[in-house]
Amino acid sequence: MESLTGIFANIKNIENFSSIVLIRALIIAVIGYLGLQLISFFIGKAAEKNLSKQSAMLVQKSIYYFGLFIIIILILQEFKVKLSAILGAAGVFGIAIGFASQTSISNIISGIFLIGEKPFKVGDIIKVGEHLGVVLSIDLLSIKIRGFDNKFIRIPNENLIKTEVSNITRFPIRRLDIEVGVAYKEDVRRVMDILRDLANKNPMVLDEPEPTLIFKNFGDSSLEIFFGVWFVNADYVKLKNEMMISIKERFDAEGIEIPFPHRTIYAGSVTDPIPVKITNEGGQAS
Amino acid sequence: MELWKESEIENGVCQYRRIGPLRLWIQHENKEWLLAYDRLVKKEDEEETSDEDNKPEDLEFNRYFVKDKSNKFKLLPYPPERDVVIKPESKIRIIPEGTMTFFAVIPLVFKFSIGKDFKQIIDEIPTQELSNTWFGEPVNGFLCYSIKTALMQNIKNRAFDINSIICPITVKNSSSSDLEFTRLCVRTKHLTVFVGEMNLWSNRVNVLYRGSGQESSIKYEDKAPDLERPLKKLTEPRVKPGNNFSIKSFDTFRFLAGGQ
Repeated sequence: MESLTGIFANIKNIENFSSIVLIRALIIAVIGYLGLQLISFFIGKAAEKNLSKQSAMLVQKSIYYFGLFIIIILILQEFKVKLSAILGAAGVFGIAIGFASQTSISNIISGIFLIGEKPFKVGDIIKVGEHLGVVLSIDLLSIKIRGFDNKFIRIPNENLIKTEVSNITRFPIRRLDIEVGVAYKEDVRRVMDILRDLANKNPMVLDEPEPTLIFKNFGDSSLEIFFGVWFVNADYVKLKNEMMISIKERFDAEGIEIPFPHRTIYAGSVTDPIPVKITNEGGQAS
Repeated sequence: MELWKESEIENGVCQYRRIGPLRLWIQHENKEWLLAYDRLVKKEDEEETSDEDNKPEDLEFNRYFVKDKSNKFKLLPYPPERDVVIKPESKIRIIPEGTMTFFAVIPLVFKFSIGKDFKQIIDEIPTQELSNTWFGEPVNGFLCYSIKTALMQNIKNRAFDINSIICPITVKNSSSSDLEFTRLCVRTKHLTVFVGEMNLWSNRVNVLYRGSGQESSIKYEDKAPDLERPLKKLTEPRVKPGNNFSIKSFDTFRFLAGGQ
């Protein structure tokens, strides 16, 4: 009886003990989590004043995950879990996890290099491969960009280290390059004067640096002229539309032909007509 | 100059103002102001004299709702909000210890102001559409407006367009080598505007060139230039200049942006 009572008492003690531990663990979890959210928020805000946006984001996330790790350790300690055993097991799994997470580790290391190198920052417009968009965040494993069609694109950091990245908004001004082809019969100097005049008349085109005009090539179907005008980044879409339209309208008004690709068939003599033979279904001349 | 004086407008009546190529129509109704404007493009059209009855049919009024019911307004002339790059028609060279004074003609913007002491600004409207340009290298520099002009040396008794501010600039070359420049950047935010019988003037700008690679020293005088009397101060600078500061104002190099 006594042993039964003792057992029940032990069970009750164990229950009490378990209940107390559970409650303490819950308190640690709840208070710890809320406190962590507050701390990482305020530290993030403070970091934004002194660091760049992505560095501040990184600091905030590092503190958050580190804090989370501490909370988990504290909870495990409440349950009297031996950490040394876990670490020992982790060592065994670590090798397996290491092989499995090569890509993730590579992304993390690439991310650290990217933050140090600073090829772009949050808010920049970048082109990576076929993706063009605004940088939303630079994280440890990847960057997130928003395409101009409002698509959310995640690009692993490893890809960024390995491929070319174009930062379109790094410098305040850039050049709009237009390839213009005109018919061989046209006066090239006159065409260039017209293009120069169009650039001068458009207030969005910067006077300095001056527009670039290069007679590029004697193309297969046309005389190829390179026309480059400088502009402030924000004016890109409006300028491109206006410039292309004004070139077309002005060329039409001046009678300047923009040829489409064509081929001249040469039948052995410049002056003789090309011989044409009409046959019936049997192949005999009709 | 009557254009810059205080004016009154009756409710429901449309008033017309012409400032260079800019045509402005103004209406007022209780606490609402309506402004509409356009710019004449061709030089020959600028001879046209219009009034409220000749409003273009497609003219759109911008509406502004204010706190004050007052029907008084004033047009305040200012230089453009961005710095202005002046490109002389020909290259200019100042030999060591040489001094040159010339006059830059800057198209003005005006602020439509109302309220007590006309401190409440409804809108700021450029009288002329100016072309953008960049001063400095493509990787760093700043956005300016561009003005192609003959930098005049003698403007005695000459009347300019009503929408022009004449800025006297004195450049002294205190270096041991020639100062040759193709462009000059004028920091318009430090210019005060004065009005005379004939023209609008800014305060004199004194530039001391110290040599290639060194920054020029710039002084903006407080007082009106002694070129037309009497001159009355109309507007303060957007930003008050310090006594003397150094800045890059000359661009002696043509940036070669060609090639692919």
